[in-house]
Amino acid sequence: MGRYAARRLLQMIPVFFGTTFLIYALMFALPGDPVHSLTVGKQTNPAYLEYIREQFHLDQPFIVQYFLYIKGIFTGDFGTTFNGTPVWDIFAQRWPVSVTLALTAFAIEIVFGLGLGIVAALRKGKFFDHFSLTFTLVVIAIPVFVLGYVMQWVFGVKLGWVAPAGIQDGWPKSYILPAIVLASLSLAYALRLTRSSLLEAFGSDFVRTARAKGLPGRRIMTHYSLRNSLIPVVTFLGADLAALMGGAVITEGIYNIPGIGQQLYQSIRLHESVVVVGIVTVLVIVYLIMNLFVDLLYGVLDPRIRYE
Amino acid sequence: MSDPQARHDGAHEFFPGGTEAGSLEADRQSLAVAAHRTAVGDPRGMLGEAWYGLRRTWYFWISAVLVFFVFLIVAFPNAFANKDETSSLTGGCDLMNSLEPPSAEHWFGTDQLGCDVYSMTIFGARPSVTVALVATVATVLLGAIVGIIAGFYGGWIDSLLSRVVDIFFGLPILLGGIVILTALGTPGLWGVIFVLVVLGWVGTARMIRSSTIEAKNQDYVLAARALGANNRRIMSRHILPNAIGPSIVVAVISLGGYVGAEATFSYLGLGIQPPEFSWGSIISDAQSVFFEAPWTLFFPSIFLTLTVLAFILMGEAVHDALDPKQRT
Repeated sequence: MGRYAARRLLQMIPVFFGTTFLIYALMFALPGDPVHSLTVGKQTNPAYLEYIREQFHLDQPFIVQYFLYIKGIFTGDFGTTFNGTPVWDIFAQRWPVSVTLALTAFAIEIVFGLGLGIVAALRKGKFFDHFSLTFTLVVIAIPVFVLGYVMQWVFGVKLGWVAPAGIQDGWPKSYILPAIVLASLSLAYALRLTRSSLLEAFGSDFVRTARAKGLPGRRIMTHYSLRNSLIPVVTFLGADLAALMGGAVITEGIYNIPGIGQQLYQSIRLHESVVVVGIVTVLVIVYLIMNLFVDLLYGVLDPRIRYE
Repeated sequence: MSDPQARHDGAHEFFPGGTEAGSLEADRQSLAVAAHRTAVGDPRGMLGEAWYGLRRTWYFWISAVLVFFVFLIVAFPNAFANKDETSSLTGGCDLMNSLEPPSAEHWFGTDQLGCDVYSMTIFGARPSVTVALVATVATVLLGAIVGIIAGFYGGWIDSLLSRVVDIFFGLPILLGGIVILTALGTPGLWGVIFVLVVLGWVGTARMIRSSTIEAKNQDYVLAARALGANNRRIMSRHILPNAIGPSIVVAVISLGGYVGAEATFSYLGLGIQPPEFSWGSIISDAQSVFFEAPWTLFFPSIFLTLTVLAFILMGEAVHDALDPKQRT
């Protein structure tokens, strides 16, 4: 297990460099001079512009800039924006909001996705099963911005249960609606996945053996069917949590939530490469670690899996 | 397929389950066909087998009808609506009619500029579906080539290609898409296709790679090699047909996903650029007037959702037809 984890960590290194390099190169390729756009419409001293260029290494070749940036990250320095705000401060301000939203959405996803998936599997072929299969398909088909506006209109404007936008009401009142919108798609997938893998487990030999041994139904469910069918669901949930943490550009936009997704979108538009690359780098690290965590969790859930 | 399988299927056709109002003559004919099949052992290929399963699922027919209508709208939009009523440039929109609710004249109402929402919805279909079709074909092609090479040759080629796949896999489509489209200066339709292919091929590549690894040690590959087939022939004629199944399902579903993705990028202002428009950009324009005039957002959204739903349903049906384990 330890050796396996070590090898996986080693494999992450090229992926980490590849992804950050890709994003850095793309941000570098953005049209326009960032220093110029900073001072547009103002009288500026050419010497000051030189100073800015030098300070942000903009006078260096691209590849040097990239390595200076990576060096900064390893010393805990994510750089500063052109107007002098450290990227860490932006992280500290924005990320808690997105993480709150993500965890709320994740909780909804687990409770309803797993719970209703189990119910649907237990009532295979009955009304609830058909209803949930149809309903989740429709949810998967609705683009998130359509769902976001419709929910905002119904619950925020027409019914007035919650404020339509912003986070001034704090958790949970301001977060619940965007969290439901954010969770809906993954919830639908989680429900279908839970249902199908549970049904597969119900039909398997080990469940039949357990039943033949005369074990009580509850124990068969928790120790045999559920435990085995959880493996694909856990994989899905793990990857999904990483995606949720990345903030939701669209949901945060619709509900005006000052999280990392909104920041990312603004920063790309403003060509603030330091912020964009910083956010994406952290996201990639979170994603890689979540994947490793999920792989190691396999072994806990399924003792047949051995790591060589 | 082996002989008993063919006989089993023949039996199915012998008893059509009373779904068709078949006359005695028709029954006798199908019996003759079944008997002939059994006698000759006519094997049904993978596609024939899938089609056999597909015909029997109700949601396949629902999705087929929906997809048919979508393609009809995409191919002949002029038969359904008037292009003039979608643009102020042609004088088809009257600002005096701004934000009118649905009426006999404007079935879906009018938008802020007084354009007919129904006509816009019909003409907005083409870019969305074009993006989805081209992107799906390209992702499957690229993914299949890389996946089969990585899986078949293994070794350092596999390690290298797999790391490249990992790098692209770590980039979420929405995030990477926003960065790439901004970097390219929002190039419109082909930019969206480019993004979807560049970030989407890795999923297919991973799937094909793992099914290639599974397939390459099978007996039929050894047999082909013993008969003197070279690597290229083995890959294209023996491994690919056996490894592509799951990818077809994903491809059909991703048709729906890409329609949604195009709408998302256009919604963010990074996809189709004015004066062109698609469902996503119509919805994006509608968001500012949504509270006063919900129909401007409602109707294009319905069309968009139904199209995505049609492709996903069709993917589900193909999945059930190709996967004999789930057949009941």
